[in-house]
Amino acid sequence: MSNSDVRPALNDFFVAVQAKALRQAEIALGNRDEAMDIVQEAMVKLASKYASQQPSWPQLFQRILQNGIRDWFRRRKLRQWLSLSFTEQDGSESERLECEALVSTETPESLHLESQQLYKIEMALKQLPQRQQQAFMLRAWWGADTNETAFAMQCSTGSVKTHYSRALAKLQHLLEDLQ
Amino acid sequence: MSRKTNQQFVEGITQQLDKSTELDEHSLDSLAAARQRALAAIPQKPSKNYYWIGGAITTSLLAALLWLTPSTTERAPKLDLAELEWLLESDDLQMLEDELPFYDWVEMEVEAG
Repeated sequence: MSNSDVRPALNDFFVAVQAKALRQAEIALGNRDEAMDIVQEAMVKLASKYASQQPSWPQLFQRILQNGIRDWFRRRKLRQWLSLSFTEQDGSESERLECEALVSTETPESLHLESQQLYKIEMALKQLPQRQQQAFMLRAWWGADTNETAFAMQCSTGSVKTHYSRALAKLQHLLEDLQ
Repeated sequence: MSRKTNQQFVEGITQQLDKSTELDEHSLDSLAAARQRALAAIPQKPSKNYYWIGGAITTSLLAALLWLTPSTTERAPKLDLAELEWLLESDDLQMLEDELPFYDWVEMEVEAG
């Protein structure tokens, strides 16, 4: 497929997945701007490296996106570790980062726009460990099967099953009133 | 109220998440810009036609170069048509025989003189 054929197809693919990808990254990171950066990086990486592999775009995009989210958490952890080790802060910075995910989207406006139910769901998802959250979002929301989820998360299918079942159990506990 | 099955519970969550994918204008603009940046990052691969055109241009240049380069070997002297005819015509042997006594006489005269 020539370059000119790929562009419209890839654009259509991005249009189809962009909103979900942005929301998933936003729920994971707790910040829309940073989520936007990660989605954009994933798009650029897919286009620059895998434009010719059209049948595998969904899996490859998921893998790149999940990697981006994981790298963001690694960087944050490193920042936290550095701030604790070298600057001897009183923990306010790490505390701020810890809370950032929970508070940054909790504007009155967003609360007004989103239903109370959605707000509770997002809060519950944010309380899941990152890998459990990824497994749940990929399996339940994106509809990926176990193999596709394992490919995106770069782990075994057994791990995917474990993460997913734990995520489900925790969500059922956290969202008991929705049941 | 009966408790939902796992599937119903998951569907309830995903339906809410689906509703939340309706993005505001600013986010849509940012995503459109992100798409454009991504599409601009597609590696520029020359198509097969370009390979053919490139090959044809190279061949033409090579041919022109060979045509215009002066030959280092010495050219054979040109023969014009008159010389060619002269070379091809058969000699009149009878005439040569008739002229022999004349040349003998010239030689004798030179020696005597």
